[in-house]
Amino acid sequence: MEQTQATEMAMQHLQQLVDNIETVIRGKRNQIKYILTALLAKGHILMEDNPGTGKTVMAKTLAQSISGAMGGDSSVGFKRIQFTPDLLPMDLIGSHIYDEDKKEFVFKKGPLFTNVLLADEINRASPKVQSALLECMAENQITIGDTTYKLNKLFFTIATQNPVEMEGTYPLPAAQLDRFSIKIIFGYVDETTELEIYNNYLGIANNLQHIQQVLSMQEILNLQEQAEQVTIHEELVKAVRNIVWETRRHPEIILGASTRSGINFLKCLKAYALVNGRTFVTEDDIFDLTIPVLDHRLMYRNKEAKANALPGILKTEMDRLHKLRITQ
Amino acid sequence: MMQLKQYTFRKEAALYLLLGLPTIAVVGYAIFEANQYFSFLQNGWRMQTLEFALGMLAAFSLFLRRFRFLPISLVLLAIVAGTGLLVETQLTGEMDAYFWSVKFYTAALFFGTGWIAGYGFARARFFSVVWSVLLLAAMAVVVATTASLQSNMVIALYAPTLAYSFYIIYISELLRNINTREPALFWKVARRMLGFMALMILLIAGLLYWLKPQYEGVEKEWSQQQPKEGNNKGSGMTHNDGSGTTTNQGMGLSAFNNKANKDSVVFVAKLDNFFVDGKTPNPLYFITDYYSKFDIETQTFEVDSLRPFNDLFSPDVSQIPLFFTKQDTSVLYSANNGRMRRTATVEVYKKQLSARLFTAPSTAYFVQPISVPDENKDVYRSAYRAKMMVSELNSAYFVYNPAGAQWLEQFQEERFRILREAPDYSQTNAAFMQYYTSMPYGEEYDSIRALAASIVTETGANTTVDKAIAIRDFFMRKDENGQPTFKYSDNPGVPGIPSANKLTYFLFDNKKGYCAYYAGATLFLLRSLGIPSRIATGFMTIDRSNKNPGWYWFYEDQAHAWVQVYFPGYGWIDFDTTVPDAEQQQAPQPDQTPPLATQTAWLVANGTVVSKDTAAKKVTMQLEKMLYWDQPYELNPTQPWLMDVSMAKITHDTGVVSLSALEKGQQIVAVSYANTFKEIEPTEADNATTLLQRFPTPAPIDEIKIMLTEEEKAALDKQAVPDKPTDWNAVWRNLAIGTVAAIVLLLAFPWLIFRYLRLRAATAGKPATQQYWRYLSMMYYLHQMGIEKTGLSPVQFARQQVDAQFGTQLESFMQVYQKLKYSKQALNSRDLEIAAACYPSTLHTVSKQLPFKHRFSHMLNLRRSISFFSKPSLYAS
Repeated sequence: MEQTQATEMAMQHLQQLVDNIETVIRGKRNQIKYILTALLAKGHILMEDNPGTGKTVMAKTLAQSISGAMGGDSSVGFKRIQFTPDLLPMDLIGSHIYDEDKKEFVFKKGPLFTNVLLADEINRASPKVQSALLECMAENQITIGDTTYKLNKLFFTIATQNPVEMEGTYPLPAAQLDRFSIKIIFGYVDETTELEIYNNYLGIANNLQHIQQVLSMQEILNLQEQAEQVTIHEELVKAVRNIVWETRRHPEIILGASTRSGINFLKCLKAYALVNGRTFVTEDDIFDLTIPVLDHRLMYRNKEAKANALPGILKTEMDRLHKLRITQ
Repeated sequence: MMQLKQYTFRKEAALYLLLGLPTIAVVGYAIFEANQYFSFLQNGWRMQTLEFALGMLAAFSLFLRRFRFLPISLVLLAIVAGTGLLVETQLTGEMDAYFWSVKFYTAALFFGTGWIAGYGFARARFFSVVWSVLLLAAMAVVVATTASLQSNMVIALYAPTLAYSFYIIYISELLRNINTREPALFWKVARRMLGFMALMILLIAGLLYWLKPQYEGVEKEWSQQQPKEGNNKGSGMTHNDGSGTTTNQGMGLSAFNNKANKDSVVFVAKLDNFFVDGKTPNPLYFITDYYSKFDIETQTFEVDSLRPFNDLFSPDVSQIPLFFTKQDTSVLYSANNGRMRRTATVEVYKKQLSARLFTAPSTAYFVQPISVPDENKDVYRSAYRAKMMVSELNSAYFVYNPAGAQWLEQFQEERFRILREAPDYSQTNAAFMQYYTSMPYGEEYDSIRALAASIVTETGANTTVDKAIAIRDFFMRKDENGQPTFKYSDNPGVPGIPSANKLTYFLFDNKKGYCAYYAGATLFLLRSLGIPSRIATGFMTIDRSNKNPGWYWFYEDQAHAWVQVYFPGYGWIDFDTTVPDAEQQQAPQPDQTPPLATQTAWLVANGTVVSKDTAAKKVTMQLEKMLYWDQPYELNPTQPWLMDVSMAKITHDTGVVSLSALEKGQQIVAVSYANTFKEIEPTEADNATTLLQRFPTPAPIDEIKIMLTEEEKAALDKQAVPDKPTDWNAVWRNLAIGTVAAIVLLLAFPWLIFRYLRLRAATAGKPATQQYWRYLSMMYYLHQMGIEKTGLSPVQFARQQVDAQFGTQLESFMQVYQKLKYSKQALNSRDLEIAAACYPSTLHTVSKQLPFKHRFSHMLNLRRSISFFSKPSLYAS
């Protein structure tokens, strides 16, 4: 009973969160869900698209919704780093600075020591910086010299990147992309929504200024725990296994998905179900998540394969599930 | 790389087992069937199936790898052509060049067919459909040309092929999409195979059970690996139809076939043909047909209904009213047989013989159906009397059975002496000679000619009869060990005169055969000597009785084939060259008591009933014609005629009936055996009217037979097996009906599946099961209507493709179903309500919004419904 109540509560909170974000970001419900999925799955998200599609605003809104407008102590910390080619690792993690008073070097924490980090245009920084960030994301800790600094318990990175083809970018290596639970293409809004935004941009900007904090840090941590409790049917676990295996076997895929990505897939599925107001995973979740979760981890033989291979695998698995007869 | 190998190996294994084996089996069956009817195949179905299998497997294994069809096939073709050329040149002049080259080309044909089939299965996606259609068409051809077409028999023949077609289409689709890495793959496949096999066994067992009462033979055939034999028009003797009669087509050609029942009497005959002593019966062979024309295409002798100088009298006895006669004296003219002939009569009592059939010694010209005596009605179905001009030189005792009887030897010597003095053929009609001595040219015929010449030279025979005797002796020769060179063999062959290459094989190599082989070979030998001759088929007559001289019993195994030789002036004389069967230990059947002799029917009258007086037992009929003292009289105009029927037995087709069954307007035949009529002898001056005046009034009548009306006749005809060659109209009609039925069934199949799914949804007990069937039936319906869920998730599909288009509530159903499927929670009452409401409304709304034409045409699409059930394809984009 308690469990159910907690779940109900969690769902309510999530709904509030989504609604809150929607006051600022229009027509991006799916993207919001993916971001929340990554958050609840204790992962990180990478958003890719052309500049000006609302990636940064989205990240900011989310951060503010859970941290309040520019924070307080009990609330969630939010930092934003704009990645540039001349950025250095120490700009991220911090550095030892000589303290004149104490006559020693003290560590000055960089922007990574926060809860929600917006890493804007991540692929414009040099590989050195990229790998510094991604390592932190993976380990949740930073080691400088002899000292290891723990990052916060809640550490969520929203990274954005411009399409790889654009000039002045350092593409992220596949191994590093693997650190992101989900990668989504942000995309333009549809025509109607676009018009709505034009008509109302002042109001929207205003909304951004006055975004309400709807969730506390503790609540987020609770939600993450709730996500772990979501039921996933054996057959769906099998489906995840099948999809992962197929990516390894597919003749057009050079590098398939790892076991780690499979585990991550499961986590995301559970979180996504919760975000959608369910306490159980369904085929729909697999359908929605396979590409955002797996696509960026795979290396394809050519462009055509990139377009077709994973959807083909997914289709097969969906058709298998569709005919599956499961009775309780 | 290792993985890839594994992958192809498993898939290949599955292809060999699931596609290859059944295909080879079915094709083997088809080849076996074809061998029964196409003589050029030379009874080598095992070898031919092997050739097909080799071709197919070779193509399979090559084309599953990335070989290209054209270059490899061209190389193959070149090899075949080269070998063919080699065979032709190497074997020239040798005895069996033809034999071997035919063998080679059939081998090439079957290998090629297998090759193409293998390629098709390995590469072409819809080949299974094409292949099924081709196979069905081939089966249709075999069925249409061979079976005497009872509709259920057609189904029995079609069913395996049809079932195979379904199977092969399904399995090839399954294999195409199979995920070979799936765990427990082979178990899954094996399950399907077992299911299919069980279905087949059920089907075949059901068919057999169903057909058993009508076709006792079917069972026998299956057990003897000789499917269809009993159904084959050629082996009419062993074929019983529903009415228990026997047909006559190709009679005798399967004679001594071990399948002919020795205990089964076909008919009984009383032949009044005796030797000069007037006491010793002289049996004569009974003839049903002549094979006289060589057919170039099939390389065999065939019945020629247009034969010149036709001396075959073959009326349809069942069409002649009882006691009425039919005669055709033109056959006597054609028989051209003035010398040593006399008229003989025969009475034939039919037991299993078809009512229509007429068989008698040559040369018959007269037939009169007679009634079977009451006492024997349950044994014999019908009877007729026939007259013929028989030759005094003719006898069944021709060749090898003087049996030491001196009088018989004397008779034979005497008749050979007479025949030796018969004039030569110089005066014989040229067209006649040309027709009855025609024989094709060619290597193998030349070898027969050489053989005939050597036989004649060796024996120094110079008259026709001596040549015939020399040929007989040739077949009777013994080798150095005292063993006969030619043997009798029941070699199960297909009835019909063997084709030329079979005969050469028989003459020069095999030297084993049954009567048709001896007759066929003798005919070639005779004709190559320029002796006009032909094959006669019918019944061998064996005199076994010393109790009832002149009575002969004919059993099924007495069906026979022999030759007839023409002697100018004496006509056609029977010659039988078949050697005795050394292994046959047939004890002579003790003949039973013959039927009682029929009384003489003095008067037979035919007309329509006008009135009847049941109390006084008097009937008036409008007399149309009558037969008095065997003389026909016509009444013109017809006259009313009063009959006294107090003593009369009234019969209908169904048996004896009472007087009340006689109704106004019925056609009847009245027969009188009364002595009154014996005393009124007709004179030359009498005509029908004067005779009637001399008859007593009312006229005493002993028997009245009610004639069948046209409808009744038609109904009876339906029951009887047509014993005309082949009723092509019926063939095509049945074929058309069968095909249409199959097509309709095929087309209705998707709809039937839909009904089945709905039925399951309606009758499911547990709510969970019910949702499953509801889900399936909705998805199936939408799929069938062209709204396919290709790779979308259920909810997405419902939302984007169904609800958006039709305004239905499918999405909410999907959510309920997903919950049911994956949540491990029970559905609450709200969920169930939603599901119950969505299911009918979705189907209803969708069907209402689609035009009928669309629904109809889409529902017929079988391929679409197969694709619903087949496995999804692996890497399709």
